[in-house]
Amino acid sequence: MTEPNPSPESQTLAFLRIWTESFAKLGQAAFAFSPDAVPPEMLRQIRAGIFQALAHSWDEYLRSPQFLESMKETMESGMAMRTFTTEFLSNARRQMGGAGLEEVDGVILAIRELERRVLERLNALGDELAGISRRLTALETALGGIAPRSRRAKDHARRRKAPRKESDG
Amino acid sequence: METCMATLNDPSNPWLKWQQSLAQESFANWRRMARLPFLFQKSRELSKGATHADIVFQEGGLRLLHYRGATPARFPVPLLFVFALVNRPCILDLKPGRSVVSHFVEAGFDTYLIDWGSPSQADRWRTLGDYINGRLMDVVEAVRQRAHSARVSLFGYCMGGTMSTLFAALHPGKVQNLILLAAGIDFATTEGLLNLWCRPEYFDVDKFVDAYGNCPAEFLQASFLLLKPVQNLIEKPINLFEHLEDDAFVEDFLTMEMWLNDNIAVPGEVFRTFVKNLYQQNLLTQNRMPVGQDIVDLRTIVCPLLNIAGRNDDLVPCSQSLPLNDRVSSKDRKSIVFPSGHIGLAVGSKAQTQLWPEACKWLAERSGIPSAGTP
Repeated sequence: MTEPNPSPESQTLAFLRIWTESFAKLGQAAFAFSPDAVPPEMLRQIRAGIFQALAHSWDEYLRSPQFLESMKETMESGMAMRTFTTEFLSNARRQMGGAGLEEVDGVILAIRELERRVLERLNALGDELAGISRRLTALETALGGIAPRSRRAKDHARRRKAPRKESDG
Repeated sequence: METCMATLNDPSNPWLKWQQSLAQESFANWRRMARLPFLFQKSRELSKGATHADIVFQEGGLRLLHYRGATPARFPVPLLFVFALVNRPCILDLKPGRSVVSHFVEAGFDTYLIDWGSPSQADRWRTLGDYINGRLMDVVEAVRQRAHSARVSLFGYCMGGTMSTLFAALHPGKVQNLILLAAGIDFATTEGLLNLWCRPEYFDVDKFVDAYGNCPAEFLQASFLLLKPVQNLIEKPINLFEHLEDDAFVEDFLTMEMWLNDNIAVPGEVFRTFVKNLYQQNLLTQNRMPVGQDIVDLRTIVCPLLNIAGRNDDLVPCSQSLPLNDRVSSKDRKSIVFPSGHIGLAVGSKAQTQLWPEACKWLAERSGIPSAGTP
């Protein structure tokens, strides 16, 4: 069962626990070697074992409620500090006759709203045009025997591109 | 006495071997330390990119790169790489021998890549809908017109994979094939640390975005480092020190570090949407993810799908990527779980020799009839 709000003492204990467990594992890794092995390679294996044990302990700690709570508190403090600084600087700029962050954000949001309205209108116009084109094509086909406008246009373009045949003789 | 001297002089004596090894290692360390000052010079000589590219489209800070191979493209359907918003896309074309893009270019694909650019504070109000239905749509249209193709193949990496999935679901008529690389789809898992850290009881994303605007690059950098603190902060520098005499290793290391430390900010509203709708509420797999005026339904994806995940990926675990295959309507779908981490999927040596040739082959079979001159 995890604590909903771990106290600072339990956070400290959890942090210390990972180090005590790590040192225990380090000791196990350090003594798990054969003296007949080549020295540099053996030392590297010991070191790799140590780092693996340390990584495992740290992974457990980074998932613990104690770390998560301390991370949350640190971030809350950082965000509060940032918000205070931003508001202070914005007020200072405003007092000096300049534009604060709120004014700039307001302009940007107004431009975005304008962009959204223009794009919506363009999309609507595009849909209307597509509908008109469809109705026109259907109408031309319904008149019977008359090639649709698109086919007439293609035929015309093809005739214009084809080279003239020179007459023999 | 004689016995003692004989023992000490015996070359197979383990204690003598220890002393010799320690002396050799000490001298090696001195040599490595002597090379440390040259690291700065080396870092300035690094070149970015392996494949020649032209900028063929720009929109604000966004650039569309078109890669040119030694021979013209053979396949009629163009390929568009979509990377994440959190890093530069050059990871996909890092250097010769570590380039995903070059595999596809050399295989004959007409290859493009989006460089999203770096957002300013004015971009903090850009939404995910602006990116999917606006910028990505504009880029896809530009590629379609340039390549004279009705559809494009999308290749999405990481967050770019999620964005590619959203696009393919909203505009299925424009996507021929979908290749995803470590794309986050199902965020219900707590396998990854990010999923845990983003929980609403620990991370108030609304307050964060309201305070900071864009998500700062430094915040993302610190988060990624903290996913593997021992590996990133202890093992990596030791590994570099031990290989300082290996020029090829140092160059690879510095090139990778240059990219890893080049995080860019994420527009605030996009960050808010990603954390809230994906990490916290997992709306995408429930077919309730809003993008602009639409709701994304994964069942509208019908194109061939190749879903690649890294078995050792801590950033986007397999359990976050692979569920997509069960939620799309594509008849042709395949998943590959490759023994690699998140970055290794793109630049790892095994991926270069095994994964990308297979992916090229998969895509070639689904990209139309190649033009004359195909061997």
